[in-house]
Amino acid sequence: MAETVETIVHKRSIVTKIAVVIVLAVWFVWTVTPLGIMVISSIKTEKEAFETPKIGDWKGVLNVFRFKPTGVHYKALFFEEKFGTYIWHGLVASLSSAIIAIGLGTLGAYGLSRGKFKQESNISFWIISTRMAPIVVVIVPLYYIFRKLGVLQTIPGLIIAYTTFNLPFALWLIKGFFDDIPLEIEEAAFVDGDTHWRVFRKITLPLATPGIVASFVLCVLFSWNDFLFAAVIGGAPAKTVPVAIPELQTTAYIRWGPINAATVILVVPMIFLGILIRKYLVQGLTMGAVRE
Amino acid sequence: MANSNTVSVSGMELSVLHKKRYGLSFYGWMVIPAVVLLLAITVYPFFWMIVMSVFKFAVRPGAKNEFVGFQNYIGLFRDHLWVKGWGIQAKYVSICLVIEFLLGFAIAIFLNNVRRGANTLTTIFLFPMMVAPIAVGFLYLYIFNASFGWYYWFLRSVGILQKGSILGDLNWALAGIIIADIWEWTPFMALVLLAGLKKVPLDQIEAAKCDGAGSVRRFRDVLLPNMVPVIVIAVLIRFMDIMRYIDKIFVMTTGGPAGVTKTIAFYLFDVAFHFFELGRGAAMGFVLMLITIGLAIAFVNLLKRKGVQR
Repeated sequence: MAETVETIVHKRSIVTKIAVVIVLAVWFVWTVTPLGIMVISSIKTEKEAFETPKIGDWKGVLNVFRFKPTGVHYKALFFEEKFGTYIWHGLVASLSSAIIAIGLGTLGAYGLSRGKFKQESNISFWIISTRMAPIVVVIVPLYYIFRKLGVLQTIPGLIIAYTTFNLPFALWLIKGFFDDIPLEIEEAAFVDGDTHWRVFRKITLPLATPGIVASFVLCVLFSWNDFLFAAVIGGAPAKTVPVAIPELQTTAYIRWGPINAATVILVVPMIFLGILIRKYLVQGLTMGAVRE
Repeated sequence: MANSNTVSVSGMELSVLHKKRYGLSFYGWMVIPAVVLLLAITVYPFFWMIVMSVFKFAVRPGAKNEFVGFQNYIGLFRDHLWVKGWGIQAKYVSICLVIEFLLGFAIAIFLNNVRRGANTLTTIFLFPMMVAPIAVGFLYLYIFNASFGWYYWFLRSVGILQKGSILGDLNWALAGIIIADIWEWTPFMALVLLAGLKKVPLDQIEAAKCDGAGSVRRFRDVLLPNMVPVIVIAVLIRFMDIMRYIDKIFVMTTGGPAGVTKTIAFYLFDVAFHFFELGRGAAMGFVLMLITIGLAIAFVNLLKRKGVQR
């Protein structure tokens, strides 16, 4: 890893070094500023948060940090609005869907990875193509089917809806993890007289566990962040945080304080999850096509 | 060698035995639950989408749906919003892709040149990807606000923007959404391309160095050809995702002002869930999906033919 550092720059002159530092510093500021503004605004009163300096007044920027932290907006979310319930809805729906997707996905992925099927390439294309369909396209027929089945605006409906993108994702990603485990290890166990199931349980599954956990986390992340499915399929009785936030804006007035606080609640846990599975992120987000 | 041979036979024998006793190999049984569920939740709705696209749906539940044949599809070509939407979508998707790719590549190369703290820095850089698209929308709606938004203040102070607002301006609205998308997804490009950069074989670069190739030539003739597969994947996935998501537009402009940010995907959402014309929505969705998949396949084939000399 350390040697790869010198891929492009021939000899690292002082100019190159400075250029690297400047570019990365600018990118750092660009990345962090919006998040910082959001967090700071969520613990300010709206009056304080709306005090931007006059156009061109660069020194005034420092006033951003002059305020007394307040939890008013967070209190409003939990006591005036029912954000506790919405968080609960989101947790139940995303965790259940992730459990279904990872449970069936792990079994299926192992089968796909080890077995030989006549339609293997077709199955692969089918699984990947689910990622190409625009979300709106998936929602239109689902909406109609769910309305007929009577699961529209229920948590189970939402769980099924999330599974439409979680299951193919888990199936494909975990298949990649199983493909990485050499067959020889399993064959040695077969010689010892183990059954298929025992080989899977005792040998292959433990080896793939880190990858499976990462897939689970990504499934939770995708469903927790989802807005469209939750808005159309979930609706009012199964409201999740992403659906509840836009409702904080009324026609007359946008309640920016609570919106910023709710955004913090929505975003911060997911950033932690992202850091947690940092090692598998590239593989996860490219459906296993690129590895770090 | 002989040993491993007998081993694989014994594994296979077990498979055959299993198939005889249970009708399907062990692996087959493992796949069945996932495949059946996947059929039910992806293929069945897809089939319904096609059926729906030839009906005119009654808005009131209980009333009868009317069979209209291909009228929903024919109507698309007469719908000027649909045609205009494709133009906006093309602009949105292509500008996002180009900027995110170039910036992402640059960031990846710079990160690759950092010795200490590269890991921490990369981790911080990928924060935006974890942020829910809807939250990104509100974040930027807030900092673009014309009376208290910090980006608005910055753009005015620097002198890029003279007056008016960002998201309410006919020329700036789409740019605002593009900026938000660049913030959110450039890290993805950077992260994936960085992973690719780390895999470029060092001996090739050393060899080029010994032959006296300058850094530009090393980049063009050694690095780039090695990176092609990773670039294809990064761009392809980003392309499909920009086509898929409408969350940011929903929050930031809801298609306005005067429809200049009404991309095709957003227009579809409007038709299906605002006007509840599910039949027309399904027809649009079918066309949109075919075009997305078609473009994705064309892109892969194009790059394959252009030649990765590996």
